Amino acid sequence: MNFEEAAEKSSVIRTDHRVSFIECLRKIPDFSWTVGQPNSYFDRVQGDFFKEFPVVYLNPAGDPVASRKHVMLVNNSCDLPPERTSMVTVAAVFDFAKYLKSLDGRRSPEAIKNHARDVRENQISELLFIPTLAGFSEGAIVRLDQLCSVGYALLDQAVKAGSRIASFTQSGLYVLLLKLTHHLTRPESSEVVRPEAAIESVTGTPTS
Amino acid sequence: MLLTDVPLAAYLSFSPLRDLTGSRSTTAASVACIWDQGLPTSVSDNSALQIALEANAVELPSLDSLGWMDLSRAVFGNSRNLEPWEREALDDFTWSELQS
Repeated sequence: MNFEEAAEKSSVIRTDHRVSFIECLRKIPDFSWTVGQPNSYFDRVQGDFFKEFPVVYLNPAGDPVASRKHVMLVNNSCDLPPERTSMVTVAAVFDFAKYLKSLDGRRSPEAIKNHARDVRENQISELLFIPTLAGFSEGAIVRLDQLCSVGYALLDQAVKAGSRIASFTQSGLYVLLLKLTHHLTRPESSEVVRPEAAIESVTGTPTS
Repeated sequence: MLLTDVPLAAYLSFSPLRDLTGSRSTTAASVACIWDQGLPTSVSDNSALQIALEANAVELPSLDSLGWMDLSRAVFGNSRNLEPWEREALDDFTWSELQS
């Protein structure tokens, strides 16, 4: 992903933030500027990281797998006041060093090195790499394709328990937004074909 | 390696899109491509590809439209998806972590 190109085109980057954001982008592959201390003005904002947060996922067999993991809060900040939602969406955070270790022997050292580089440079659509996060010596990875909805009360409890460990910087938040935008709403490939019959079944209107 | 009679879109499957962006160098072998209907020519290195793409910006009518769409995405930035072995490794790791 060409972040600078995306930043120039994105409507989510505030005009008065664009210059400083691009200055940060020019530090890539250094992404250390993305995450910092928990936001001191708001106790919960989009992208916040919480430790030991409950998550549950259905595995390929359809069985629920419950765990407590560090998570990143995905919801837009505007939807986080208590009266705005009863559910929040989080993404589990994984230890990049442990992940790299798990790759030993799966492919050639060169292939693993290239994969690690692409992850670190945030070039993989479904992965967000955070290089500096407490408890993760070589950074953390967030799977944007592995989201989990939990009750808002659990977020409230985590906030009150002081479980929040980090927040995105302003420029870091823009990286998150670009990654989310790209992953979830990128242009559909021209190779994707939707049969006319499928369109008809959705609209209920014959197409010919 | 020069490939002939291969649609441009088919060529793209041989080379990760990330390697086609202007900021990355690439090898001659991995960027040989053929333009549909014979224009402009094959290209064999990244700078040549950029020149060809710039030419394409004025919409050469003979360029295969599918290839043009994909190449434009390459130029303007496109993350890549995980390769199969990477996805398998990531899945193995994350499920293991979630169950630990």
